[in-house]
Amino acid sequence: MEETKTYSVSEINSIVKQLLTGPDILRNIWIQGEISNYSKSHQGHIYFNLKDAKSLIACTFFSYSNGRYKGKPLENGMEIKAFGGISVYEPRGQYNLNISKVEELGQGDLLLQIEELKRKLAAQGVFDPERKRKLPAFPWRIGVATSPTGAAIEDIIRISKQRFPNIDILISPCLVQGDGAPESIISAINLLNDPKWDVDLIIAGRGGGSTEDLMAFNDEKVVLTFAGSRVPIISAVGHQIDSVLSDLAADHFAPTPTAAAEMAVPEMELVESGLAEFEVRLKTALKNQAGNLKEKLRILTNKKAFLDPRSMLNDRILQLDEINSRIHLLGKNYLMGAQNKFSPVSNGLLTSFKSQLERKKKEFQLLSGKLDGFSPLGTLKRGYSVVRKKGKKVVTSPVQLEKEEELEVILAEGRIRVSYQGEIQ
Amino acid sequence: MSKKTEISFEQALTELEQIAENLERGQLTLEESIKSYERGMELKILCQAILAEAEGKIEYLSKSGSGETQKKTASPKSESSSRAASPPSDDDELF
Repeated sequence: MEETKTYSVSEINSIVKQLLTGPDILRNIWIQGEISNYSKSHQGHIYFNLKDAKSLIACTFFSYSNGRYKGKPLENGMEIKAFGGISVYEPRGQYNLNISKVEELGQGDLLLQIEELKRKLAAQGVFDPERKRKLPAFPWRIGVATSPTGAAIEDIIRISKQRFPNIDILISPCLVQGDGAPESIISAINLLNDPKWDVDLIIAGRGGGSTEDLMAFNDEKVVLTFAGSRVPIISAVGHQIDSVLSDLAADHFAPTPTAAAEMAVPEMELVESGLAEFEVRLKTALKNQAGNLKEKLRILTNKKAFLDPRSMLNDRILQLDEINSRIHLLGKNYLMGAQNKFSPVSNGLLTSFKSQLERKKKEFQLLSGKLDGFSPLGTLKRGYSVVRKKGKKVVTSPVQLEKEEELEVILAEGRIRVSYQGEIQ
Repeated sequence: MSKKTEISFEQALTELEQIAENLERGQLTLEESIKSYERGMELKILCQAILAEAEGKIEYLSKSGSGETQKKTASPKSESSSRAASPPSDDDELF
């Protein structure tokens, strides 16, 4: 008989744990079955078995995971699909399914339907990004299509008023789940699209729920109503895992009605501070420009021309003088150069010119001496005089004269006036 | 917000932004700058007036007995109530 190793219980449970928790296939699995032996601890953890016709498996649904479950309350006899991983509780040697997500049975079919419709509408271009419009930055009145009694409308009103107390909210009430919800949603959105209500944007949606609860927002006609809205529209269906088709068809979508209100409504404080900021910008810009101009003026008025215009004139005069001096010097230098160049010639010319001049002077003196002999001035110097009438006519005979007629007598050194008294016999 | 005046809030804000940018660029003459500044301040005051004029009403659409859609003001929130607003009354057909 062959000897084999003996293991402790703990060792075996540890080996089993390693075997069960190792393979990928057992870490992320969907298991379908009926709930039995359901219980919930004070800490919020849920324990139950999932069973089918032949066997069962223990399940744990911890509070950190079950808090996200928005479907119908779990109870014994309920058919579900659970997603999670196999874990082993070594102290008891038990293995179980640690659940992270639960779907009610039938949801798989629903998801398939949604996926099919999604493909169909996508092919029609209903979800095309280029169809999306910008939301108005400052909506004056927002329209809300939702249940008038749910948490969604309260959240939207509360957040909108917090952000912008003066915003108008027009609620178009509608059913958001169950029979008749699709028609009700379509009617509410269409009403808000009527221009007479003067709505700037629409928020349509509801709070969270199971896939079944949200099905109205996956209805083909509802999705097409979102896509065809005249007024920019936000789809605000509370959910976390999978988006609904209205999200894809709307201009924008928000994960919750609260988020939709935050997206749609600007903050009054920010708007007001933005306006105040504009005032500061305008004033600063104008002040800067005035400052720049002032500085330019200061620089200009500090120029010499403004401060001491006379000195500018003086500078010009000095410049002019300097130029004149330079011209003069240049001329002189030029002349000297020229003189030096022609000096042998010019000296000869000058000598001959001087001797000619002397000769001419002597000739002139001789001739003027001769001329003096004929001059009446010479006769006058010898004591003779000339008698003239008023009309300057020289008198040569008494017959030319009238009694008492005034006459001018020219002497060698002056003239005298005399009166004719009569002829001397 | 987009109050229906001779110029909407958005248009006023767009023009205001343009004016601020032009002024900040410093390419305008002093006279043009002063005119722009005056226009900017005018727009800012207009925007503030539009904001102040908003009424902040909460209303519901409901069908009257004749089937005509009408607007009804929601009941104001009471101090004790945790509800933001209430539909007009149970008599109104909301859906």
